[in-house]
Amino acid sequence: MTGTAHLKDIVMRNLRQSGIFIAFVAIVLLFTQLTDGTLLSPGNLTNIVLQYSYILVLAIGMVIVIIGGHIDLSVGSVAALSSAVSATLVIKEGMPWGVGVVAGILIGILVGAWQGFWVAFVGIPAFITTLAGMLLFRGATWYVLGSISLSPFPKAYQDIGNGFANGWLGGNGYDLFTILIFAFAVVGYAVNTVRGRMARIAYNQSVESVGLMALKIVAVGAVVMAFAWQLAQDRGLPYVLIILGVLIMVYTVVTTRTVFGRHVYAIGGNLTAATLSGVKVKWVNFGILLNMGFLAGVAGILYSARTNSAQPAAGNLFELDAIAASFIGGAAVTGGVGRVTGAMVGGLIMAVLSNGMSLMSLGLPEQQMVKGLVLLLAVAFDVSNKGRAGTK
Amino acid sequence: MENWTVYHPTQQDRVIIDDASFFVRAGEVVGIAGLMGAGRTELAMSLFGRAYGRGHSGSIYKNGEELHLKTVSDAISAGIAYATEDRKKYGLNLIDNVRRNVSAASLFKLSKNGFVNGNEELKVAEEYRTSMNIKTPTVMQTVNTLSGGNQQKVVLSKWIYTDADVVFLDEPTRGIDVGAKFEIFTIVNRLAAEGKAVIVISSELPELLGTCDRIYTLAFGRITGVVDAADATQEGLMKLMTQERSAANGGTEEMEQAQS
Repeated sequence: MTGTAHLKDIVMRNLRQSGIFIAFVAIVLLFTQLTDGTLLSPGNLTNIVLQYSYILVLAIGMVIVIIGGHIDLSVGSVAALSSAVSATLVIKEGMPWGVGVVAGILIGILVGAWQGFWVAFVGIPAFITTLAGMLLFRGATWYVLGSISLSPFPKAYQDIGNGFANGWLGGNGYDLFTILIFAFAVVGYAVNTVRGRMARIAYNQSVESVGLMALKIVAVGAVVMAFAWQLAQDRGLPYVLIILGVLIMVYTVVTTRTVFGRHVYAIGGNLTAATLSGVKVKWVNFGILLNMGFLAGVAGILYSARTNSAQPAAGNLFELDAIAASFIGGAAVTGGVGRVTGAMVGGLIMAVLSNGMSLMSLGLPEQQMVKGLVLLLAVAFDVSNKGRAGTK
Repeated sequence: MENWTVYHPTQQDRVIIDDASFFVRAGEVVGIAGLMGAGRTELAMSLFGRAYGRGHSGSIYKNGEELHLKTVSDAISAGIAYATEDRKKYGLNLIDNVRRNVSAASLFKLSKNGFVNGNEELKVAEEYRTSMNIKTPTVMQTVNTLSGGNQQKVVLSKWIYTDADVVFLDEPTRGIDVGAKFEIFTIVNRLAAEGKAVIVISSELPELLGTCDRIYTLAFGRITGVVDAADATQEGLMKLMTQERSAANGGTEEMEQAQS
């Protein structure tokens, strides 16, 4: 059936997904107004990217954990341990910075394998396993650091979290390279959308109208290019943004297009049905937590590079930010539902809220209260949405 | 299948299936009749890659070769399918759409190097929507919005798409309307005509008598008899299905005579 679905239909059906984008735009507009435009200034946009990238990296892993019907409370401690090991090797032992990066990520993977073993093969709920891990790896961080912080890192290491790809192609007061990279991304998005549409037509599926699709591409393109323009005017393209972009693309494909991704959704949606469909539940659960460990390791490296130090208390409450980002981004508390892109928008909402309130010189108390309420409202929206879908 | 014995998953010395043996020919529909709690589902699920119970003993043969099925995916690749009696709990991912539920047990057929071909998947789902007459506006509809009969057809599609040649259908007509029941039995006959071995588990005796070639009766975890559907009566089956354990021994002998 080739037909054009109505706009209202699409919006209603995708309320869970589109609602989050609408909320994000509203929050951005609100804070732009309240801060007299400072929020969207080149310098501040760059700062948001630098300050919240590690939360977004964690949120990628966390949303997969949550889709699988688990939760991971240990990511903050794991990130801290990864940065502690890396700092010890690079700063104390004087090894090259690359060794520290690899070791930090390896530690993350090892921790992931450890927690995956207990959850998948022994059958301890992830909540308990990772609660234990939260204590265990925080203790290990203190042990490795001897309860003191280590700094500074070499320049190359700092650049992972603070550096920019700037001036590679020159430009007049703006960085041409940044603009080109983003333009390339927009073209890629457009080509992908059009090809997806053509494939759906070839398989006789209903598609949205050409106009709507064009509108979507133009809107996305405009927002992305405006963002690129602002970055290019400031310090150029942050390296963390490249890392984050690659991770988002890879994990979007993993969750939507691979057998592993399908199995994660199947387990979260209905565990027994997945088992009886031949899904190797234990190995998938192991993979979920292994992957979370890997990303926590990456986040630890990014955080230590950004703060130019490894601290015993690093990564405190990261897990809650990552979990909040996933739920605000539309993941369901019961598992089986969620998207990497949703979690990214959820994380950005948290980032804009914190950053906007900081710009308005509101302190931590107000920020915490507002973030708490936003999380509650987001999940309340999800629950009421599900009730409606059920009665349909 | 011979001398299949299964113990209860948590009560270690409680025997759920005791020394059960039966066989199915290709192109044949065999019924397993039993009351609730007789061990019908447990029998099928324990065969299906040991999805139920522990301490399994006995052997399973297919085309004369012994099968060693340790996991559900072993069973699926050996060409065995088990469509559950409780589709909401064990059969479907209710919050996902028709398309992904149909492909859920056969992603290996749709994927290359771990990547799923979504368009091919759509095509398959559309084919089953037409051939199984699943009433849904699109295959992107989540299955919890479908009626029981249509959900059941999704479950059947999922298992037929695995290309299994031994198909267990556990209470395939539970909780669905008459029209859908008729459609399901048409599908059962079609499967048998295609040369698949179909085992229907049910307590609806008229339905079993109407579709099956032979009917085994199960009581208290033992197979108490086997009758040709042609000369079976509801009373005769019911008598076998309610045999007490003490009397069941005699029943097993009867069955062995029937086999030889």
